[in-house]
Amino acid sequence: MRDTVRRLVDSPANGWRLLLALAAILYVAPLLVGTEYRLFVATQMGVYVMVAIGLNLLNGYGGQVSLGHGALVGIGAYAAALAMVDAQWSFWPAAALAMAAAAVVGAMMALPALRLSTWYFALVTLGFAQVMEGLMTEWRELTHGFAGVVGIPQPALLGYALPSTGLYWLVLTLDLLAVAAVASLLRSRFGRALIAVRDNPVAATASGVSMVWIKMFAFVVSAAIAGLAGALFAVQKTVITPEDFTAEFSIFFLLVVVLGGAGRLWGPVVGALVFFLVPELLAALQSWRLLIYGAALLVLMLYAPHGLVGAVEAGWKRLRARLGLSNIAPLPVTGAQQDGGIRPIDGVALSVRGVEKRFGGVAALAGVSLEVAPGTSHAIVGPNGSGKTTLLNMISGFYPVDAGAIAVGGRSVIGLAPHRIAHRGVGRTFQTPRMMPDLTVLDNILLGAFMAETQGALAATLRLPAARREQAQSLAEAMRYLDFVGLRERAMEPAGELPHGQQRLAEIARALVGRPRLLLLDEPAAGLSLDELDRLGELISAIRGLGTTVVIVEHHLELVANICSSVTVLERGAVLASGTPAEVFSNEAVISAYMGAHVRIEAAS
Amino acid sequence: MTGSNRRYPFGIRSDGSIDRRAFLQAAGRLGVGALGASSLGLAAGVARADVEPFKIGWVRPTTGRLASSFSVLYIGGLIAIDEINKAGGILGRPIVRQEEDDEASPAKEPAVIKKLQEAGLTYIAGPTGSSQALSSLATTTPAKIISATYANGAEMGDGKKYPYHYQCTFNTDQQGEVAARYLVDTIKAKKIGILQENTAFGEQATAASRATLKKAGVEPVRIEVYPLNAPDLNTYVGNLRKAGCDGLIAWIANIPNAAMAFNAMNAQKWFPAITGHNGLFLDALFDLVPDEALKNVYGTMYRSLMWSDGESPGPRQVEFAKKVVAYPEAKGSGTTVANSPYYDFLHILKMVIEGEKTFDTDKVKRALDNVRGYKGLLGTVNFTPENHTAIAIEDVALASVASGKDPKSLGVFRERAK
Amino acid sequence: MDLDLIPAGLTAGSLYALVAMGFNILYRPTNVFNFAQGDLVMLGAMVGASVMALAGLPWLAGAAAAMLCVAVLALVEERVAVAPVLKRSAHGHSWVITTLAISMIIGNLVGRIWGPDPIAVKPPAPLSTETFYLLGMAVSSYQLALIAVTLLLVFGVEGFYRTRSGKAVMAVAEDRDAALLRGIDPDRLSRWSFFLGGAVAALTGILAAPLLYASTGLGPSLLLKGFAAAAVGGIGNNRGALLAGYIIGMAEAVGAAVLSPGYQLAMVFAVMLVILLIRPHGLFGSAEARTV
Repeated sequence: MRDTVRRLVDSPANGWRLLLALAAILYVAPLLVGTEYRLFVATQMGVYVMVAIGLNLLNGYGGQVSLGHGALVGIGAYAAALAMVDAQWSFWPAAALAMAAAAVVGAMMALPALRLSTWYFALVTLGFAQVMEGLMTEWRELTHGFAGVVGIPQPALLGYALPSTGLYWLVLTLDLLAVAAVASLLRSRFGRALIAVRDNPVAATASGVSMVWIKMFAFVVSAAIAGLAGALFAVQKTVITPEDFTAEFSIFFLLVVVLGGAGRLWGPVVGALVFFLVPELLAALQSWRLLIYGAALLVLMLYAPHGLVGAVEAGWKRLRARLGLSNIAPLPVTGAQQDGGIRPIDGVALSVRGVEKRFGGVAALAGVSLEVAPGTSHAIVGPNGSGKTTLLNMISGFYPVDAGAIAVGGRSVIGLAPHRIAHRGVGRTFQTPRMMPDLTVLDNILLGAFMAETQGALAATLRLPAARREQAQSLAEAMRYLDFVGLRERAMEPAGELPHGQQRLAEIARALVGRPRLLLLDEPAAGLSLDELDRLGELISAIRGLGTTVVIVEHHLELVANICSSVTVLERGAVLASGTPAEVFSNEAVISAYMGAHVRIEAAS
Repeated sequence: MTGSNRRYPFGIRSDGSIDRRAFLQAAGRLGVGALGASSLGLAAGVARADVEPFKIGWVRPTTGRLASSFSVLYIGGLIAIDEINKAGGILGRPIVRQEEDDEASPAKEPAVIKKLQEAGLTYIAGPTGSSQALSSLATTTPAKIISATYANGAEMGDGKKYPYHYQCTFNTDQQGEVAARYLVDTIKAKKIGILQENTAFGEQATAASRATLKKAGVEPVRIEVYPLNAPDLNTYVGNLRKAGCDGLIAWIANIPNAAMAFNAMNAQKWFPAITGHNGLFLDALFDLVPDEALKNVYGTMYRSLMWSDGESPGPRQVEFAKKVVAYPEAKGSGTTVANSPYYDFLHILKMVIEGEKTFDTDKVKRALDNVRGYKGLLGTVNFTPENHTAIAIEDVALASVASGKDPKSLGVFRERAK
Repeated sequence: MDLDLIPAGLTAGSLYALVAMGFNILYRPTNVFNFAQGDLVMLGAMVGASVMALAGLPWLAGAAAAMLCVAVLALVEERVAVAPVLKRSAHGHSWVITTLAISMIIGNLVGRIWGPDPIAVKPPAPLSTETFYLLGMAVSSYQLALIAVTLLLVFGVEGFYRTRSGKAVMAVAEDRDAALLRGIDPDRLSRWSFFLGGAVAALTGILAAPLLYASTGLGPSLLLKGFAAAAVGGIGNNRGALLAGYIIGMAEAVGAAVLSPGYQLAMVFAVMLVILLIRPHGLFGSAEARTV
């Protein structure tokens, strides 16, 4: 018995079988148990599910709270309805118009909002939605004001108007396609970038992801899906008025997403299902219905914080654990590309001249200069607060430069945004590793491939052969670097469960997947065990062997002396000494500045 | 009634059968409202001797914030059902409501209507509200369900557009015309302004008033449109005052806004003659606004519900007013109860169905289209295939808001404007 | 431009600032936006109006009763709907749902308790809503008192944040775990904040009632503009909320004089947007801590 359950639970194919069976049931159901009422409710639910799928992409995966999605549905509904009723378009071009209109308005909505953090973003989307609702009545010549648009015809296929069953099938099909599209998008570089923007914006930026661009992208895709749902909303309801698209309507979708499970692929579907079913089941309670419903919602959220799908996932994991099955997915098969070694990298020179930085009244850097030749490794050492990390942050663009010049490969990077500097070939790690703790180690490392890949969003969504080839290449590359840093066996574990030292190594692997021509390492040895320390030394030598220029901020002078060809010592934001490790560490001023560290210096020389 | 003096809970008779009305009343007292169809079916099954009840759809919000304000609008319908059932029902079948909650949301209407349609219902009272009505009519019309919604827009009474819908009230165009004509003809106002809420009703009523004014060769000196959530109406009222209005048409349908407007006038010590919506007749206004500010305020209403020097409301209206008192939730909103379409709708249905001796909707529709001169609660009802607005403009008049304090009003009637 | 717009804008702005302050008080130690805040305001007005108009309690006693009542309810909300989800994850968004659920429950309960009619609330004697002319502007003594009370409350609460307990609240807002290490009990502060936030919400409702009337529809309209004032002012910052409330109130008053409603809304939004684009963290908001 236990073995049977085990086999059932363990087979990934069973998941697909279940999904296919459910889809088949959904397609056949109207023929067996379909009444007009059930069909109508099911279709309406399908329309809402579609909005929620789009919102889940933005809110669940992108972490952006939109309180204006109801208005985007309204824009889509009005665009389609007016095109069909007043301009006699057929449904299909009208639906395309609806998507385009919602996407354009969505972009307008997102544009100011992108400068703002989460809750300001929410406010702006809410305000925008209110304004849209106001304009729907105010712009009477176009929208017919309060009277709304009536007599919206049914979509026609090959000249025949779809019956209600046909509309249901259409909505169902589009919903499934939308889930599939979101799923493929999430598996591509876009999905990882989006999740990185939500979970660790700094890691995203350092990997070359433009925050503004990816948020805008998510918003526009999400809006276009809402627009399509709006077109379906209009034909299903046949009458639309401005009162259909209130602030409550917008908040409703957020509720659906969070209830079902934000950032869970099937969350919006389950959320909408529960939203439609529970009130129906409580119908006999009449006026107490919504009250009980509110209480149920409260209780549910207390016990299922990651939504219903989150709760099911947790239960599933417990079940697998009890059956003695691992919750860690098997390593992916990477195919033939795996055999190739790591290609050499063409390192670039770094030149820092007279860089200054002030925080408030305090000078963090007062005219620092250093030169690093291509393909060499250079260490920056100095006591805490001497400005080492600040310097790295300025080279990689996280802080603006007050004065001075920084050039990578002979080209100035002053004034460039961090993700642009990343595109110039500058990779980096951080003092505390910047991982996305819930993603697997492998996914964390694949984020680094964002820049290396060239596929567009459409190619990724449709999973075109070229895009799949490229994804397979990135996967093979990521596995190679995981091998390189010795984390291959832990590739499928959540990154947050790795010990600190291994997270550091993983972060280096992520930087390497982006094939940096200049790699900035911020205290990579901190918190490493002796074993790991040895590996780190080998690793950095190997990286340099690839040709990459390495700049390392480090307290561990032994490591520095072993692997670096040159050293700059900073003290209070100024260069105290620079030269080869041997020269620098015998410098009197350095020894006295380093006081407690001189024992280690002796040991090193 | 039951043939026995002993009272059993839930109206169960001593012989074990059930007195349905007593049962329903008991259920109502328990706050269950209308029970679902299943329990009604049970009741019918137990009452072997009874015929199958005539089910009518009852669409209204039973949940949410609007539930209590909308519930009074259906009291007239409840009174009618009580009267009809006491008189033996329709063709001997007692009326039973099948209540559906539309949450006052236009988006819910199609589903609610389809649910009723599938339960085999072909007659529906409700929903209330213009967006809600538009939404429900899109479903009831192709389904050939005969319905009366509470929405006053003129197009709702268009028999060509909505052949199965009967608007058992006056419409906004008539209201707009009456309000405008009174200021021009009777008050002889020279400068007329309009204060309008930014809603479907406000928009339609203003358009109708302007059309009437235009015919009289008058152009409003100022039109002020305010949003429902305005924090105060001083600015709008001030603009009208500064424009020198001596007559004002006020399309305000909710009490807080009305109170804000009249209090703003009181603050500015400016009391033009005002004509407006029937919503102004709610007694709550008396608590919120000093009497002085209500002296010159007139609302549009049905002539049948007014008294004047020579006339007083007819016996049917008086009897109705007495029955309204039995509903505690109707306290202070008697005119609102009376102004709703559902009382007349049900009585007209009874008359027509019994005249045709069938519940068949096509036959009933044809007969409804030929109703002429029926004396309803709200006035003389006339339908034609084209015109489904029950009341003619002759039955619409203006009444004084302040007269609500007169004992003659019985909580329902008002004094006609002189 | 009409001078009368100034008191109108300031009065409405004060109410928005008060709603925003309720938001802020709750937000500071919990980082939670209470979606039921509008309902608490409405409930304050309804309870206050009921005990004053129907039970005949004097204004002060009525206000105190309503504030206590709503404050306790807000405390219950914190215990039932906020503390458990925050305990699980201080950064999750579950509270969006739980506070909305509370809003749903309150919204449906009030409909059963109170009828649709608004209840009149007289301002406390000797104040009145009768207007007189001051510097060429039509104002009422009640409006002046409302503006003054709002100012006092805002600066009083801001003063509190400079005290030891106030600083503890700020510490919790910044980092719950770190505050815990410093011996601050975040749970206790959350409880107090909800209690006080509820009291402020109730007071807002009571203060609004003589102008907007106590009705079940009072909450939603104030909620949105209060939220806007909180955000424009810089979330968590009450002086910012006051200024932002004034700006929104004035923009609305000027809009009322010259624009149709649809465009009024657009104008208020435009003003808000411009402020946020120039200062992305609100008027008095400080940029988030350095990220690297």
